[in-house]
Amino acid sequence: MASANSNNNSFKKLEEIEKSQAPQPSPQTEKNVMGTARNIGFIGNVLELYLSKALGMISALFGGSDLPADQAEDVEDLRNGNFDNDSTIEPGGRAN
Amino acid sequence: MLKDEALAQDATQEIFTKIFLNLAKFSERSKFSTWVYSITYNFCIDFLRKRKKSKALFSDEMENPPDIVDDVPDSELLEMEVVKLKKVLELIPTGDKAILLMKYQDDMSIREIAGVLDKSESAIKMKIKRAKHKAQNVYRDIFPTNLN
Repeated sequence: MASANSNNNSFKKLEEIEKSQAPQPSPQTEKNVMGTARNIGFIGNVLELYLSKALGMISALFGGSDLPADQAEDVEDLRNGNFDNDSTIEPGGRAN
Repeated sequence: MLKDEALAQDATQEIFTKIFLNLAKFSERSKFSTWVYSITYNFCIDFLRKRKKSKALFSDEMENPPDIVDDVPDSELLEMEVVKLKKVLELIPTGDKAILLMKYQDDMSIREIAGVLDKSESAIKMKIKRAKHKAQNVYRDIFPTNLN
């Protein structure tokens, strides 16, 4: 590793000189970066909160279901008035 | 690295956006600052490669890379006059300049530089060696009366 002592290190001296001569960071750049971050965050929120719900609704409109396949089957059975094939209750009366 | 203030400002915006979008990919295997450094370095190198397609960014990518006989002692670079060092850094390939700045200005270890450049530690040692040789040759070319 290089010596951190700036007294013997011309690279460090050069850095200090360039830092003192460098213009201040542009506030416009900071504004643009923050604006971009806000926009990306907003799009992320829209995708996460609304788009998944909207897609679920469209799917439901076309007869689909956003429930897992086995649960959707149970719901379909209940809708059809079929209450007999409840496999979650054993003959002894104890639930799984 | 880009040698243009307007380009550097545009690059800053794009790099911050890149960092923001890739935050989930930060795996904490390296320091956060090293990760940011590597995104910044790779962005600048890609940008420069696109701009000057034919020019090599490291001296070991040149048609005639410098012959390495002996290792240049660190003191030769570290004790160079600041004005002359600045001139030398302007004249060596951008990649060589970047790697020397990482080692001697930012005090990064070989391992950290290897992480930034996505290269093996031995490859980095060779790149540093070549960069030091290149800097020494440029120094001797432009300041022939000041040989150390």
